Amino acid sequence: MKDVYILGIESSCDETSISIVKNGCEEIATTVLTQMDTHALYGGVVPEIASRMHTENITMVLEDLLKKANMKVEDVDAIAVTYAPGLLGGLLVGVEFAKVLSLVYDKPLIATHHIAGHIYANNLVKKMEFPLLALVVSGGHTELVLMEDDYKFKILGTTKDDAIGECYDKVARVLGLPYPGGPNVEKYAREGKHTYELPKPMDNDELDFSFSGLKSAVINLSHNEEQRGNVVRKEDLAKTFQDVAVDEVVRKTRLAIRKEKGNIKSLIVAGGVSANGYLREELTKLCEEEGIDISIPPLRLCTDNATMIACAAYPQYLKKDFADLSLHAKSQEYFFKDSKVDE
Amino acid sequence: MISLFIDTHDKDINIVIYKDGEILDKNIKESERHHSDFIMPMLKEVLDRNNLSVHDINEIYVVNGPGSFTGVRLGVTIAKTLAYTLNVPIKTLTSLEMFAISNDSSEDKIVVIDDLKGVFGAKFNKDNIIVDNYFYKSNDEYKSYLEQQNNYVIVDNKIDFNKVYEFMKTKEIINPHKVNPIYIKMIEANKNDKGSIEPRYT
Repeated sequence: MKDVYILGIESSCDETSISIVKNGCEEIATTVLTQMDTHALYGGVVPEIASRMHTENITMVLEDLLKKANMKVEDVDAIAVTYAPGLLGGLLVGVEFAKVLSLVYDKPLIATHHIAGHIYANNLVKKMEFPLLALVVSGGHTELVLMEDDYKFKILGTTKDDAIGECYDKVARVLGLPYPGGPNVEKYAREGKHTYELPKPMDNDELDFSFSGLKSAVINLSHNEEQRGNVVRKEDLAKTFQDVAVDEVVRKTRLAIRKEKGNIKSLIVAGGVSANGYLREELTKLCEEEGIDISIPPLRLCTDNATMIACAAYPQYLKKDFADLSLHAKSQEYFFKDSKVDE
Repeated sequence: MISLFIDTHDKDINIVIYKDGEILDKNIKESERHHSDFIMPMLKEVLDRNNLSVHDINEIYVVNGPGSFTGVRLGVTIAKTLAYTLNVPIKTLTSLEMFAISNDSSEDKIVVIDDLKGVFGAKFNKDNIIVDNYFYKSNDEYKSYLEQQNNYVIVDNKIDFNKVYEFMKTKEIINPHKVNPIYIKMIEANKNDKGSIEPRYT
């Protein structure tokens, strides 16, 4: 079969990224322009500034990418773009940019979901073999998903309230840690000890998650300590929180592995929170104990990038799942909505 | 010689195709929201019905604001990407210039675009040379500004596409990478003047 080159575009948050990937699994080149330093000045991503910077930079990102790849847009087979979810202003820039490339170079346009990108980033490590268990952990997702084939998902467990990444960010705010919050909680936790007491979330054997109780417990604990005039030991509270949160994810993942044992070949981990070092270590240990393969994308592919978008677009390309010029960006769209199977 | 004009700064999406300086066709649509659903299909449609391809476009004009942040950003992103990929010249004009040059008054021309809380505006003389630079004023500030002015007209926000073409001849070609919206009004977060930092490549 002829090789397929896909040009992927990602602009859903504070990185403008374009990448070319061959056959959904071989990265040719990627450019990521991060605005992180700018947003750090404001203590978080300012959507209007992010949108402005995407427009300012996107053609330069393309030029940089083509130089690195030593290719022309003419050489690729399709243009893929993140259409959801994310900051609408940023998504719109990427989507309109992609439409122009599609029209000018007469290439099919592919609308790719950001979370599909995080999942398919695993193909860059090792070609996914189905069926497999996917753990999706990000700012908007906490899911255990049985993946039977490309784009065929069955939700085994999901969060009943906050996503784990959201919880990390809230805890960062309570502790007064700078942006980006989640990664800083991990940084502080590395220096801390598990000295506080926090309730175990969802103390049962179901596969669903709940993090709002844990989040509230951190807020209350921090508040009560201040009321008593005690200084909150940020490192220790970060460590205690992280232990409880990660242990919960690992415990539920273990339950899911055992439930699907004999069926699944491996565990794949996807989403921004999979950059968390403690989670990576614990999941690796878990899979050793349970005797199944694990795949976690390298750190640079856990944050937002277009490489993963070009990977995720490959099965869509094969199915001719193409979009037209009226494609619109969506700030929210639950990825697994069409694939949820009720039992 | 095919010239493409794109204006998406307000409710109307204006796409005009000129052939050798004459208006060949227009595609205009009023859209309260969701400009992004329409702009590219409208461009394709107007090219198709004139048996033109996007590759027949020889130059691009785009309105780069002020106006709706998102609307302007869509038009500018599309225009600069077209110019970059087609390797054709691109020029910008502001929405205020566009309304000023479309008006034949022999007095000074005050052009404003309101956004409920206030107005984006500027004052031009009869030769369309800017007199009072672009401003953003609250409704009260604008009222007292007008009280201080003599011999002026407030121009209607109407576009004369023929005059736009003539005016664009006087404009400079810009590197597509450098084509960006002008915003005039600072956003809330910017007001603290925390300075700016260049984004970095990784």
